[in-house]
Amino acid sequence: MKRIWIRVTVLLLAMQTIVQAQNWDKIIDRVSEQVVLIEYFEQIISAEAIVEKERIKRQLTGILVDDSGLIMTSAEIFPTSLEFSSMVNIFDQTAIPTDIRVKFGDEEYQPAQFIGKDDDNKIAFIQLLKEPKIKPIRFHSKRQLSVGSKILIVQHLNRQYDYALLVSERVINSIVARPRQRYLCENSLRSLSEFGLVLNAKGQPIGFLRGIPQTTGGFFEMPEFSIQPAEIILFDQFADFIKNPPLYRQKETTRKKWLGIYMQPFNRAMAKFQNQPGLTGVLINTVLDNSPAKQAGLKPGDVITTVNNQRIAAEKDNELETFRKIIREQPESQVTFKLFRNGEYLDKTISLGETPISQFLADEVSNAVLGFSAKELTQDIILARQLEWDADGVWVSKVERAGLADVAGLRPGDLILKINEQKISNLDDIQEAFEYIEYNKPAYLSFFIQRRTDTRFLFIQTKFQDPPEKQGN
Amino acid sequence: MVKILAIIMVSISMCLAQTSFDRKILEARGKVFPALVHVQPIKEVYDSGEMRKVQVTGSGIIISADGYVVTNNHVAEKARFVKCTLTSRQEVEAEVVGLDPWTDIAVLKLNLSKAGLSEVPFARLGDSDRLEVGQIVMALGSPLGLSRSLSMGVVSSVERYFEDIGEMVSPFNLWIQTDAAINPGNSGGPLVDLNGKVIGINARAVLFGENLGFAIPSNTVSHVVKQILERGEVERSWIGVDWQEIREYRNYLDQPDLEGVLVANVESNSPAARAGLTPGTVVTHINGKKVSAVYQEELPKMRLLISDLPIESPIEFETISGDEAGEVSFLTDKQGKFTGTEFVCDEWGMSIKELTPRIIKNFQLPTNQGVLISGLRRGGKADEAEVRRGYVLLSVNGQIIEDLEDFKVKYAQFAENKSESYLLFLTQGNQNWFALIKGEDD
Repeated sequence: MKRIWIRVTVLLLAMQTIVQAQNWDKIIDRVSEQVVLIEYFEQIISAEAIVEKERIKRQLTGILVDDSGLIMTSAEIFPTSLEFSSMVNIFDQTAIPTDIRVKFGDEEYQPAQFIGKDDDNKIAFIQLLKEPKIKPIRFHSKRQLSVGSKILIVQHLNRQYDYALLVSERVINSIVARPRQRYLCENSLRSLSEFGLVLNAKGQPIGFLRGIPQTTGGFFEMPEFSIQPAEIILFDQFADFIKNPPLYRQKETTRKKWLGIYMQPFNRAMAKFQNQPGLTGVLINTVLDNSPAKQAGLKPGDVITTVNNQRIAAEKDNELETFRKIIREQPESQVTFKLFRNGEYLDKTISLGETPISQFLADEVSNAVLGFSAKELTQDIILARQLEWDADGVWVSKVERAGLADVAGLRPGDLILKINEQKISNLDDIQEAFEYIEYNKPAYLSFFIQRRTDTRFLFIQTKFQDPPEKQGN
Repeated sequence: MVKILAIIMVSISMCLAQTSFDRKILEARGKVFPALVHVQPIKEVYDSGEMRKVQVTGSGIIISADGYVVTNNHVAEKARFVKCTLTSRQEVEAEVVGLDPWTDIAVLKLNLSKAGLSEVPFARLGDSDRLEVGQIVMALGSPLGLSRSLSMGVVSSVERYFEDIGEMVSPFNLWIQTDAAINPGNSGGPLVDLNGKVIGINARAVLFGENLGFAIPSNTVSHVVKQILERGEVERSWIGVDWQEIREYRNYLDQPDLEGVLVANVESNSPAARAGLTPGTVVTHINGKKVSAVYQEELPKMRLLISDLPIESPIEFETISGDEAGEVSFLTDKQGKFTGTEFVCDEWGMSIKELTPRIIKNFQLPTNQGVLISGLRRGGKADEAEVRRGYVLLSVNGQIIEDLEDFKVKYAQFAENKSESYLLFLTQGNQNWFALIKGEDD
């Protein structure tokens, strides 16, 4: 009897597999056209060369999302930060991706261009130059997922496997409730990128797969042994981006709302310390100069308890994310806060600003003869260098290796205060200095610079007045 | 026959040279070796918010019959107790007389009476200004703790310049470079010429470099030792100016005969800033004396000229700014501390450090108020409250912390009232941070 039961079970299991396998075939057939391979060139920006030379060919998985040929992919395609942040990295930047081609299932390449990206959601969009012949993916919204729900991930393998389509069946392994609902699944197959289309058990497209960046562990921690789960992002979270993709327009790029504070959780112990045991919120520890927060008179020590009457709570670090999201994604610039300050509650109406641009988007001038480039000061550099918020000046963004400026000791990051006796306050001043140099061809130049906290002089030998090198005899 | 004779003659003369050279080395060694000291201080260091004791090994040289010993500051600093072992292998206790971190020199005094000695053999300091490149020198000391060692080499350079980067590199002197092997443990030991005179105190070596050792010239040593013996410390005048050599500036101006020193940086809130001295000015005379630094190697002398002035002494610069000659005069200030005093807050499980001018400058702090969080004990109250190491503590429960002394007074009360909670306000760079140390009743 027992044996029969086992046989029946085995049979049932086998049948199930066969049924599913049939479904998969159809499903994969359908989506394999819409899950495309994107090929592009990444332009490395080096602080040691004023003209970029290095280009790297890269591939990513993309999803065709509308009839006009809009393709959604990972923000990896253009990782450089366009918005101001407290961490400035002038090294390891990349320029906007170029020579983008999209390969559909039929081996045909179509040219495309970069449209824009959203770093908060880690997605980017490219646009085919010609309308595609195939239909886009139609996402299904409001699909419920629970722990154990089966999903199908469609992505590509890497170059070693000739970018073959990779389809894997996974289950939702965990649902994290706070600070926001997150669906996590196991993620151990090494795919081309941590981006892919997600289908539910019925084969309906429901969202995309997104990798979770490795938290930096110790030096000895082997990444292979600590693979992070991946996250399933459901359609509701990105539907608006497909309708209204973020647009990259250099300095005019749409940026998110900005308050201009640093904050920390306001936990129960702090509430108790303030004799307000029920009080929740975020604690402002820093108010940046020249920010909407400063203009509205916010102060370190203020607790923001509500935003537009919505109650705020952040007991732990990761819960600050909720408040940050509310601010960044505010549709209106006016918001009202209820603050707790020195034992009293007060209401503040604040006009949020636009997040300032990152130094990447700042204007730049270069001088090929001297071998350096300089950029105007942006808020992130001002903050990193602890300058006055309205400081004027330019900073050295690139120094050509072994060029005249490099030999004289100029370094990326230096602030240029004077060239010869001329004060340098902006890029126009430096442009003028370049013109003077080109016209007068002085043998030596004096640069008065600031490096970290100290100033010093650098003298650049121009070699303008060297006798011309003899051509071969 | 003549040929054979010649060969014999040559070899005999070489033998003679060898023996006399040998004797010279042995004689020189003999003059210094008995005065060599193996120094083993027990140091009190602050680590992870706690005070810990460590024993280190260095070298030293006795410079007087009554037992004064010269060693490096980095050997003797933070020492509570110093054990010295003489070449006779007798152990003698010593106390620290004075430290000068700016030149990395320290003076110890051997407790002779306690060791039952009336006097000890000592070595004499030579004149390092007369030292020449190529001269044979010996380094004596305890490399890697191997006591009473001697290595030999030549003077590789007498004017090695190191940029002032604030790490035990003296801005006030040039260094003697030698290829005599110098290893950790040689620190504080003497560099000796063939006359048996101490011409330098070995202080540094280049890690992964081959035979690149550096010694503090004996003339700098005697200058510093004299002041330590008189006052217990070296007081220096400070005006807040960084100097730059004019070699390239001469080229830029096309004035090859220009003499003077270029002002590269003027610190805010310094005597020079208040007097209106600006970068780009060339100083040609200081108190009527002509000054010039065409090359980097001439900068330490310049700095010394000012630092040697008594504190608050009037100083007068004759300057050239563009084509205009001018004069600036003001009073010098006292140079701030090199390292701050540290203090352990046992109850809270953290250590704090006094703010020094260097910290204030590097942190770009707007005022000199506050104390630096230098360490946290894992699992301690401060650690639990997420107090951050490397941040400056500005206030506790809204009470401003002026300085270390002020904090100590306030902390004594805080540590007493364990039931109270304390809200610490910290800052670093552009970011502030609140940390709440919870009361025990909470």
